[in-house]
Amino acid sequence: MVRVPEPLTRLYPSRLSRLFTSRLRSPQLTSRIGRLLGVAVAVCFVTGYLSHAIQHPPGWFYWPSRPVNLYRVTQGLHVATGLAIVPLLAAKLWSVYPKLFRWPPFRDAVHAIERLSLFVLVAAALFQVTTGILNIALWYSPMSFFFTTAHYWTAWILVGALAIHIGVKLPVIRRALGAPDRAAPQTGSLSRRGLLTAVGTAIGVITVATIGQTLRPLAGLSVLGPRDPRIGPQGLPVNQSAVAAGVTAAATDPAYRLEVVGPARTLRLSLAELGALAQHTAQLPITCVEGWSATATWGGVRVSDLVAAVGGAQGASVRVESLEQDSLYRISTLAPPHAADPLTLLALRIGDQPLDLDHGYPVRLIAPNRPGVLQTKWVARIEVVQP
Amino acid sequence: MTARPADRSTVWLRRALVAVGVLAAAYGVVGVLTDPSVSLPNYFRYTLTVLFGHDLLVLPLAIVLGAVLTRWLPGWARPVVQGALFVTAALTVVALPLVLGFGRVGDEPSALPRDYPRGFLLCLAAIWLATAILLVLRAIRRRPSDSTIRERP
Repeated sequence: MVRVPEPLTRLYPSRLSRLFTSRLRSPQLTSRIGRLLGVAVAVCFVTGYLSHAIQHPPGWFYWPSRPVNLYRVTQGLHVATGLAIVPLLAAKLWSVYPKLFRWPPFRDAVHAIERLSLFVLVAAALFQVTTGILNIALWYSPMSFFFTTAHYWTAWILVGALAIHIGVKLPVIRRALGAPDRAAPQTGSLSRRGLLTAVGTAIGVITVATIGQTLRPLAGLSVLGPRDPRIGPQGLPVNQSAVAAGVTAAATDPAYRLEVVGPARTLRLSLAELGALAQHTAQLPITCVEGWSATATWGGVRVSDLVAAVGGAQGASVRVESLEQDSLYRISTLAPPHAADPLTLLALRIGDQPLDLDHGYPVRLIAPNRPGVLQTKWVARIEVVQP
Repeated sequence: MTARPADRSTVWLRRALVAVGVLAAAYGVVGVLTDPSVSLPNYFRYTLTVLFGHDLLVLPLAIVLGAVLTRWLPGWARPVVQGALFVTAALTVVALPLVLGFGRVGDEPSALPRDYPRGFLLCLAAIWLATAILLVLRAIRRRPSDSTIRERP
């Protein structure tokens, strides 16, 4: 806490950091919160990189089609952990705040560089947390840059700056965490344990208030969930409507044909012809990169059946194209494990109803263990890409 | 401070952390500078706004507000209220963009489907109800111990 301002003559730069009088601040407190924060940042980085690699797979990367709910867990964890970072980061920055006003600002060149690297660390951390929150609240205008790539590259800056910070502070951290846990003197204000309890409580409240967007049983409790897995056309949320995608006319055109291109032949199937093929059902979640997910029972044609019908081999990939004209996610490629999985469908129905237009009528892709942005809606064409 | 000579493995661990960190951060910086979808002026404007907005506005304001709001509380009540204020502040950061609701789009009723001002108020009510219960429990527990202190001399 601070002393309420005394004469302004106290506000010399050299005295500024002495205005902060809380006896709660200590390397012990900072190191304890920092350790939790480090774990949380690592979880976010690994799950975030995973989501990036699934969407833009590097050559060495392999992502299976099972377990069906794996991506749902990793991405749900990414967003929940990111939100849990809010109280951790707030307490961490508070605990070292007086150091910002240390005077003189640096001792020598090395110290100056180290302090500048802290600006990068703090800026990157605040950037990642705030852009993540804005993104799940679908509030893009304050960002005015492309969230996905900016969040991705800044994640590298954050983990890099964090590794540097840990390297620089390692002796201080070790000493602080190794020191006996003496209770801070009770001065009628929050103790270290009290602050850590408050941080834990804040994480608990934030998590319960939002996690229901992916954990359906908690949907009723999660009054701040950006999505409700029970709300949407046919009881399923939608990220992009047919109107927003500009596909309404093309998707409802009676002349619609699905083009299936393979090495042996090309098929052009009407909706009725698709409905006459062998139908299968699959219980699969739509799992959004924004951390919400919802399961539905999909009915339709197996992609592997269509691949076989046009002469595609086992181990082929499948390119799926939408009726959408201008979208980053107009085309997605099913890697061999997903293309061959019997649960991967070109869905025509949810339950026993035809797909809602906003869910991708007449035909959408649904495959296990994949981000929602790759589950192409309003499919116009699929093409077998031989290995 | 202990004047123990740092053992070699620690020295190398620190060097490795700094070296790996410099490489990772440099990779990210090059990515930010070269990826055309990151519009640099907007990126820097936003980053500087959140950095200085936090360090020079939000955090000092939170500290002063916390100090003022708990200044006249008795010592036994202050920690509980300070904790509750911290939880409230952290929750507000997460809830504010939802409560403001600028992300809502007319043709997507399932995006941001809830009544967020109501949800936010419910959360605040839960936090401060729990705080009130804790304060009452503390007040009750305090009374007997006070009397024992008085009896001692």
